[in-house]
Amino acid sequence: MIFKRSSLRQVARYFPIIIAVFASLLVYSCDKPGIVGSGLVPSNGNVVIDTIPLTNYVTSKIELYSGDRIDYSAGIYNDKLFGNVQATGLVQPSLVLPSNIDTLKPDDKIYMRFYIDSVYGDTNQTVTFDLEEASQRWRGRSWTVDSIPPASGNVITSFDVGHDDSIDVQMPQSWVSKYRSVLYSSKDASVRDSIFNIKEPGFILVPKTNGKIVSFQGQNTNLIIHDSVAVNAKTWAYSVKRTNETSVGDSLSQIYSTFSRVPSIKIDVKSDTTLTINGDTLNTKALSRVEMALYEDSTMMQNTLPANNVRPKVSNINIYYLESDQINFDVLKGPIGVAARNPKDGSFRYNLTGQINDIMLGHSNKGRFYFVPEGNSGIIYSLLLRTPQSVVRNPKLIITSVK
Amino acid sequence: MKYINLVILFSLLSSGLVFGQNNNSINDKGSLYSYYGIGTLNDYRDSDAQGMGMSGIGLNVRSANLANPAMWGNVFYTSGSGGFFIRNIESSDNLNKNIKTNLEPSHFQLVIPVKRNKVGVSLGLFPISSSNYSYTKSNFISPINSATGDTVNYNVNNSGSGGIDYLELGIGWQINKNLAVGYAPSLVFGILKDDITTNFSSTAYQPIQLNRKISNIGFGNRAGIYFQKSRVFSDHDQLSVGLMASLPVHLSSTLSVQNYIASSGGTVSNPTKNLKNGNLRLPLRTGMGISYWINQKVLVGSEVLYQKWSDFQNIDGKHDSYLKDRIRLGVGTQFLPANKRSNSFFQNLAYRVGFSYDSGYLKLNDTSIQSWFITAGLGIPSKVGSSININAEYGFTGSKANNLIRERIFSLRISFNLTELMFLKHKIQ
Repeated sequence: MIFKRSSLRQVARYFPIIIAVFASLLVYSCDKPGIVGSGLVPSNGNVVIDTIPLTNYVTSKIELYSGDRIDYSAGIYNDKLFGNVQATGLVQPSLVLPSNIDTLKPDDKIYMRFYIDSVYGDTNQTVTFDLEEASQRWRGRSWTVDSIPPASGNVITSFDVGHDDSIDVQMPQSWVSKYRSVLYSSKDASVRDSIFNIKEPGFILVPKTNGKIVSFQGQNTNLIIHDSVAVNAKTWAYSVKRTNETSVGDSLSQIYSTFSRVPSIKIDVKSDTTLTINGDTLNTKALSRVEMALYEDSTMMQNTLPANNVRPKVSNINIYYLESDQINFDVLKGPIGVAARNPKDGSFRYNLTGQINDIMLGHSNKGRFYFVPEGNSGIIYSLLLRTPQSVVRNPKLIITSVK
Repeated sequence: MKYINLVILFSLLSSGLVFGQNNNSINDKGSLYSYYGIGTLNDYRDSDAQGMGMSGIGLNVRSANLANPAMWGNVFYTSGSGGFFIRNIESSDNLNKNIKTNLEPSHFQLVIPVKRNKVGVSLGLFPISSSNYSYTKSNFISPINSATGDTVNYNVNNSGSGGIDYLELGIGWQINKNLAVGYAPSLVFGILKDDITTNFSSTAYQPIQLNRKISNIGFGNRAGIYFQKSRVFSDHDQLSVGLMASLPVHLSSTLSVQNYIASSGGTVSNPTKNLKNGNLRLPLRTGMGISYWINQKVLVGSEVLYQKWSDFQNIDGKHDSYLKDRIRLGVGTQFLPANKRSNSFFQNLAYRVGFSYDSGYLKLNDTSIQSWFITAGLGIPSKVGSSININAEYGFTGSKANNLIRERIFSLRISFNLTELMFLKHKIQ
């Protein structure tokens, strides 16, 4: 055998030693990390914060469906900043199931119970409402905030709202009789309901005195029969008339949850080798956070509010993303998100990172971002928003990226 | 014996495969200096010459010699060479110290005689640089700028990898017993990657992964000349001189950036376009080596390499101010205890020691990043020309002065040289 005495064969005996030396070198290195040479290398991947003003800003009016929300509002309040606001509520009670009560006698009492969610105005003021019968049927789901309540002039009772959390309004016996007659008009429930809808199209809560606007819970506006049986309202809604808004100039804009003035902005995004937003080139597409920041003029809001007067506090601005043909329809779907109030500086911040990334990935960017204080809950929220014309705290995008 | 053959063959193939993985290393960390330029420079060295602190330009050795194309004509058997090395780096600055270890391939080469001892061709694959670093820096977003209104801390990790490789097909011609020349065109390619990961202490911020890479491809040319003469000063001596020049290489380079982003469809790769195209130019590399067999047992040699990095051009077509011309000097000796085959294992080994100095091609913070190494090696030959070389290298790179780091480096290289005779034993028998 020519390889019998080969040196290579002999070295094969030492192979385990060589492997062991290699392995020990590897093991020796594993657990000894440390920060060395931080001054030697630059910090690539610098986090950069860019601020891009939002300039493409317009306000528009969007039709708001104000029926069957969580609440409905009624009252009159002359706001020094946001104008004279008159809200008129509507509510239609339901017919109780005969099986749920003992016999309803002609002299039995029926109360209408209202639960109060919110007050806008003078908290010390007691205000009066007429409960007026509607002259015709109406539908909560198709009721808009501009709709004119179908007044009949037939006031069946009046009631006051002071500091109470709830109000029980005793219905007149004439109305109890009408209610009773419908209740026993037929054994067929659908026939009874049809008759009730014709005979009792609901009530209009007409504010009779100035001082505050009260928001009532819709679902919990009940008829109370025999002190224990609560019959939920069938439908409810409200209308708002606003006049004499204070002029605040171009740098500020009064906006409302009633959608009567909705600001919107358009963000132009061009994504090629670099990312350009509203004409500003970022030189990176690595976005860690894109935040829209909106600011209110809290000082003016506070200074225009007399003592003991309140406005429903705006904690969020709802953000809608709508294309032109979606306005007046897609708002029914709800917002894409909310800009929450930053407790540190009072700004409203909305995280747009996902949307901008989507646009970079080719999603459509034809729409505009619309802002509405709080949701369409039935409570009337107001906010004094700074516009792009504002010298300070104008709306902007705050972009944190890695370059 | 089959076992030894398989081990060597497997090792050769492994080194080739590791190349295909673009210089992956065990822990993805190496010299922090590899952040600069095209990374840490790897001189293609003959496995015998490594132990002598040289690359082997002027060294007449038994193995396939990658250092000088002129050597490829004087081959009788087809031979292959490959290997890998493990490098242990202890980095320290004035405050801290850390230790990293990398396992990397060194080279792969196949030399085939077209006309024995007259004309041969060589196919080689070897890296000339490797980028292999990882470091993390911390910073913060102040409360006034942060989305949360609180301080948001973040870490940025930079991790570099890749390098420049040569795939070379060359020819050597032994003109006469004294003179040989060689030429090797090559495909030069490689990707230099910098992966940047940014993580924030607040979930309000999306982590960012940003992958930058410069892809390079081009053609290179290398030529060598080798002269040897026996009986110069005595009856048993031999003097050899080699020259090698690798011409500047113009690489077509593309910078691209890719990042991963969170969208409504989940985290996806953001399609990127090439940000920049340009031409990266590698500079002229020349070398000269002299070796002298004093007798049949003792060889001494020295070598000088020069690279004109002041001519380097980055992808922007500009010269990087921190690059400077490089000179590498090596000197070493080899001792063969027996000039013919002995029954003693240790008598058959080749013992080598050497020293090298490298001026480096970086000048950072007004300080040249120089290196000093001492080397030692063992050559373990077989009767049929195959061999295993085990070379160790110990030395220093850089300095702690001027906010730099000093690296204490220990490398262990294993190279395998395989001749076709190993597979012809049955015929020989």
